Amino acid sequence: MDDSRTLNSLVRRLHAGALSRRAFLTRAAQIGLAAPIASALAAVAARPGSAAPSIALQNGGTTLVVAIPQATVQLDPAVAGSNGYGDVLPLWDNITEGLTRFKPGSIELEPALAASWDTSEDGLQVVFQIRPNVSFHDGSPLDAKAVAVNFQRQIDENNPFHFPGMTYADIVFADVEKVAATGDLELTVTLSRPTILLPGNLAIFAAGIVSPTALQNEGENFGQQPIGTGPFKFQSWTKDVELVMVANDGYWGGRPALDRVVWRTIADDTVRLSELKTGGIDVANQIDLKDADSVEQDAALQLLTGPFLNMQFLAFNEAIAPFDNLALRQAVQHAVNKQNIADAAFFGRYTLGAGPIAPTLLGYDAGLAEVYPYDPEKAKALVAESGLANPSFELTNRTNSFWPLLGQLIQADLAAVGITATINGLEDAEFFDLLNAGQAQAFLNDWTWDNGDPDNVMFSLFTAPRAQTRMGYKHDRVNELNVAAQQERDPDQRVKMYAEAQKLILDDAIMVILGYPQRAIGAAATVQNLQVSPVADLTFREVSLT
Amino acid sequence: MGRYLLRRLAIAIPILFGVSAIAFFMLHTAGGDPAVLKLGARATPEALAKLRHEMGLDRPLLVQYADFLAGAVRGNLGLSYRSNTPVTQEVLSRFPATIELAVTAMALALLVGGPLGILAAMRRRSVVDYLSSVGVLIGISVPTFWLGMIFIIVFGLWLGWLPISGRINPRLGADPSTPFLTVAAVWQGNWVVAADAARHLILPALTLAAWPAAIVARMTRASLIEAMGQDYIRTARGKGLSQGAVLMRHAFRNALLPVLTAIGLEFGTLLGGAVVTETIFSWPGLGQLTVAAISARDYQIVQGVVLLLAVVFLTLNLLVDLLYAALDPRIRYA
Repeated sequence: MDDSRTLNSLVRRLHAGALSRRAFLTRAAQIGLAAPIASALAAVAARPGSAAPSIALQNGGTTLVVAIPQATVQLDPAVAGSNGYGDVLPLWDNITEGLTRFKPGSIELEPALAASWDTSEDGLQVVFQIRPNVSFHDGSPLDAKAVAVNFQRQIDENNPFHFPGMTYADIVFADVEKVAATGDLELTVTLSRPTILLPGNLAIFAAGIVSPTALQNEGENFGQQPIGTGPFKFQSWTKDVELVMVANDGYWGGRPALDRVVWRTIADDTVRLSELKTGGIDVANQIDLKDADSVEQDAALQLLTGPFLNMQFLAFNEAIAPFDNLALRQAVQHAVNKQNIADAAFFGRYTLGAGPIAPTLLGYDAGLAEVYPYDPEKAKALVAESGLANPSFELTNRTNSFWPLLGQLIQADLAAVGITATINGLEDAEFFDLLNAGQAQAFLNDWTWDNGDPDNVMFSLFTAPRAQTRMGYKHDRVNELNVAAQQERDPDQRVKMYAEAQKLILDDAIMVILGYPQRAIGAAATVQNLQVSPVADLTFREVSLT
Repeated sequence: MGRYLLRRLAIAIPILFGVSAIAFFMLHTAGGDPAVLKLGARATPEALAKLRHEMGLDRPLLVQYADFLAGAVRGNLGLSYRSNTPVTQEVLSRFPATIELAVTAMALALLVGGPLGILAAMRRRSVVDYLSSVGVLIGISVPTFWLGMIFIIVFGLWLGWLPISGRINPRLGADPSTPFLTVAAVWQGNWVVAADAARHLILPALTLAAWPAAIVARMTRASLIEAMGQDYIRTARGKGLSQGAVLMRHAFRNALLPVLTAIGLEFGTLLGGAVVTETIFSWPGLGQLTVAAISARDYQIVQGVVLLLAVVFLTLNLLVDLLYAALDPRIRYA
């Protein structure tokens, strides 16, 4: 910066008497402000696409403003999951779409970019017929080759479009061996074993199809201006602040009713709710459940609630003391008052915990709640049976949201039966460090389903390597059942398998299934057709404003 | 004078080194792994190791710091872990919004704190003085996040006078990242946007202004009272000057020095202190970026912000010192 020189000359002129002291002050102040301003302005002007920051007014059209608590950081669907739901929501079935999708408000699969699909006799090949006459927002056509590029970049680490942070590839393409365009509009996926999970996995946001042309042109910058096939086109954004998408006139499913959707990031629950109540926003995602009643009672607003595929649990690490002791684990199961958690933390909008599989999913069994009923007396007896005098442990929980409250409620429940829990509250970063190091004696966490299949929790929590790392848990029969259920096509058989696996898991008492919270969205009464999805997506394809 | 400036600039270099080193090692020893945060709860250990390698996090800390320094001296602060965009671009693009907020807050603080301090000094031990003392006490002790929330609830939710958060009504279609949105809108004659942006500025600026307003009021009062006790004031009174003339022309000018120091330093604090205010009001400035970056362990961004703020502090300090010399002919730098 050369303001030191300018300042210098100012000072010289002041001393020479050419400048009054007042004039000097004014000018020096101008320099002081101008220097940072000028450099900042110069940097901003250098940003691509914003050379001349002209302020244009939006003319006409219907704009819906939606607020989410999370930040938007980058918008490549294959990478999106690595920064949380702020990136996922604008993309998922809004800007980008997969071959399949969930019907709004449900976990029922329906065709999206694939018009249909067939699975071979041996279950090892799935052939997708790609929907004809679909084009990306950049005008390039959608065909089997384009889809293949999208899948290969996630599977093959040497692919030029394989970027850091493709976390979900391991889930979505877990058993995919090969992807090939076997026709203009025919895509053949070869599996390494006959699992039935592929079509459901392809509805996950991470399997969203983007334009290969745009990938080619933008490379790793693709995440700054995504090009998909969805009902809305990305228009502009200010990271962490606001993202604008506009209706895709050429959408294959018909143009959406809304002209623009603006996604705002408002982290604070109170602020988000206040904005909703004063009309600053039309939709507030993730309403704090304590505020649900006040939204419901407001005539200008509507509360949208529904089951949410999420399961909250208190997990034990049976590899380290004191929870290598089965009786102690069982004692905690009986000691935790789940109803109290439902009332105090979730204001009744909560289903009490049964097995690991959440309500609305295949394999959910409400009867499993009876395995460990709330019974402090029995808990005390089990503590005595454990042979441990005054058992104590560290209960690790995250410090955001309702987690500290859950920790305290459980701490009090345990104190009542003679178990001392010391709460170790950690920020996300440190929390997962501790878990992955296998050093948490017991921790509070949850699992949100990415697809509508029970496998998503059964395999991921109890069979995948993290079961052993975090909980020291390895049960051969459970693993066998979970793997078999991935390949079984008969739903009734799967229910039986999951029933047995859940029973075994509960017998081991490796985690207390606390419950399944509901999800609440607050919206202006003028918002039509918005659905609460069990998999947490927020799609505006069918939404309109009156 | 030139030599003085050179010396100050020379001192700035080791200070910046020190600041960057402290920030770097504090961040890296704070716990929490950026790779874990990026890959999420579901990542496998292999994927984590691979990403750590890609991010260069598996190298010794000293090597990482040396690498950072090597880039920094060439003006390259690296890429944000979260978004893979250059740090300088992300940080500088957020700076104008923060300056806009801080300048407005400082203007409000001077407008309120200055007159309040003068009034209190003129009417010592009067009701006005006591009331202003109470006001100062409140301004200094009320936590920013609480004050912000109260403003939101009272002026936004209950009275509905002012917008609650953000920089502009999104339905207007103006880009909220436009540098100096209010000024730019006035410049372009876009009165709708200008008015809306100005209205969005009020609550966060008031929240941010509380503390410096209190400081300015207190400093003005104290140093005016001291000045009023000086001999030259008695002389001025003896000359038969009016009370106003004595106050403004003689006492106030001399009382300005310490107040100026306070303002200079407070302005730097304002830029940094906007962290809480910006987070509450979803104000797209540096503070909000910093909070997001810290919780995602986006070391690179945090470093960038810390360095930028250090530069701003140094510049402001230098400016204050120079203004001293201009205001008080007895002070000379060589």
